[in-house]
Amino acid sequence: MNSGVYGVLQEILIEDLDVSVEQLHSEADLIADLGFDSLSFATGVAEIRSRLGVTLDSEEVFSCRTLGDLQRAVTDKIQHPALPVAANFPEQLRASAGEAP
Amino acid sequence: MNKFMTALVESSRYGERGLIAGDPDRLTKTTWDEIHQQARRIAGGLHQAGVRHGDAVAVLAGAPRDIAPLVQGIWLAGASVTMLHQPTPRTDLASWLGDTQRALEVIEARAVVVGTPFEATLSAFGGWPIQRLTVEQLFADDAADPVPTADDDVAFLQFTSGSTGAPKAVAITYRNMYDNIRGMEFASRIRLKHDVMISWLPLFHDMGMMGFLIGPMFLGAEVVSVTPMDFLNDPLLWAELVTKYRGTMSAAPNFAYALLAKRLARADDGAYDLSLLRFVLSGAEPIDVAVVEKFLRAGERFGLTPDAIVPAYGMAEATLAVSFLRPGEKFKVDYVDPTSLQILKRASVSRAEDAQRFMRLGRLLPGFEAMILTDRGDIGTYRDVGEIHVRGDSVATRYRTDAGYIDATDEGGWLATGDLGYMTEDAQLVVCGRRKDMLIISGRNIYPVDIERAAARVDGVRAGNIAAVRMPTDGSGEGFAVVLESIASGDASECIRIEREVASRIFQEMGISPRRVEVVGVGRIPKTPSGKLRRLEAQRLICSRTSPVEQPQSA
Repeated sequence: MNSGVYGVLQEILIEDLDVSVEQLHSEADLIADLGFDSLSFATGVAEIRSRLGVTLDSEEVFSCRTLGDLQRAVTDKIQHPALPVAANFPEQLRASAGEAP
Repeated sequence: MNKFMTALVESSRYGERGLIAGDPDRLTKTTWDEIHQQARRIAGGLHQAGVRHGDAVAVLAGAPRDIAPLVQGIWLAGASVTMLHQPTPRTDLASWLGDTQRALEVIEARAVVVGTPFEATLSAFGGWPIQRLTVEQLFADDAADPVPTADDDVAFLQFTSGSTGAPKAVAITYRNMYDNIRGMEFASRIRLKHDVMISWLPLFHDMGMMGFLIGPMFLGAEVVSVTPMDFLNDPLLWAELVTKYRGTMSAAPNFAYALLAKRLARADDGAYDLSLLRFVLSGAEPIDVAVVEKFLRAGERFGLTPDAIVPAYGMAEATLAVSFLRPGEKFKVDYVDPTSLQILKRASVSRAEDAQRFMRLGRLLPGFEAMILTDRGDIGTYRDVGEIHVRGDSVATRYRTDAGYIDATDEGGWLATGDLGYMTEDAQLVVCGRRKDMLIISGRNIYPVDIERAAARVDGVRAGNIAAVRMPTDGSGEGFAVVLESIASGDASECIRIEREVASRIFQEMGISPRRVEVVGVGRIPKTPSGKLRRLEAQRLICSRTSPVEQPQSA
């Protein structure tokens, strides 16, 4: 399951945020190493929602310093959906939580 | 009444066209006539609050449905409009308030009007010598008759950036707006019965405000308007709106087309219909030819045609547009010899593999003149590269600063744009670099001093010895790097700490991030004998370490 989330995050970073494969590791600092700006955060949140069915609010996102933190935040949200937001995407959620992409 | 307001009020009476806005799932239409009636009530409310002819009114609002009647209502009350810099969830409210207060002082605002979703900030303005009003309360007032204004009265005070150090607002007159919107109307061949404009652009920026709110309000054209947040939440909303409302005209900065190209490429066949789009403008940011090509390739599957792409050039000082490609013409790419460009300052056509590609940005709008002034001070002919100067009735002649009004143009009426460029044989303008220090990140104008000020707040950084410089990279738009001096430059772990803290500090304050932070020893940052930063040289310091072939001046 974690590898599933990480795999999707990797895809988002490479396809949508132009991060190169060499830069990807769980300790990579989103801002200092990967050059995330507010546009990258917004794009990332939108893609995480559409691909994983998880809606992170801005506080949750901005509290993530590294890529690993982001992965944990997404995984936590899949396991403990606090709000009914995720219920809008039950099929995507099951699909992505159940198998690696 | 001035000719701009006369035409605006008159066009609101014709037809059922209007502003389609609101929650993206449930957009509703307000006709221009209804907006005019609201505007008259707002003018009444403003008058009651003491706003008089020539006063400045600041607006802090995000919803197009609030902003349209507000802007018109402020004009009907005889005052000028200023859109305030908006706080985001990340913004440090204390520093935002400080900046806002400085901005309000510069324009000597009589009143501030707050709308959705910023109502909560209203109390923060307490204790300031300024009228505090909400959109809601103004809507409820009695209508007032328009206060007469003249063509050369200031209609808009548009801040040129979020520059916190020395806020500077372009003073746009009714004459400027009349000329520019008429020029755009002519050059875009807009037809009110057929054209539908689609926009998600921010209304505190000139492209969104002038092009997609004031423009359609003045002409009485149909416009669908959502917010930048709506677009970033789901970029394909743009394609949905184009499909649903049969959109024909739209505009955005380069970065948005990069984003859309990726999303459209993954969308299902037949999901959207982009075939009615005839005017898709790219402006406010240097245009990357590769991005346009990718966007076209992804859009073609949905009926997007190449001659719909409209490369454009403009700036707040010219009200909005200076040049754009005419409808029905296909965009042209210039292939230029890089050596000739750099050494001879000539944009010689090249067929070699190392040729640099620049987008031609169309012909001047009617009413504009352009002049290329070379480094030697000569007026350039075709393909001579120099600073672009423009002149015409759209060009604002003054800025408003904390020292009052200052001239924006020289005695001949020319505005030095700070952009480097040339003219092609077919009278199209090309921008190939920038003389001014300003950065353009995702369509936002950013001044290096603001980045440097943020970096200076990190421990171990020598204040005054920081340079934020442009750092071009292929494919991912304009970026910047920061070079700074520290006495700890020999200590590797301390350098890493400084680099990280500087990056996150800049992000926190401005929402942008450096591509690179470089810590150097004391005395390494190049300066003039009088101690002024030499950013261009500092830029070479960074660029020489990345790739020797990069063109630091290419836009």
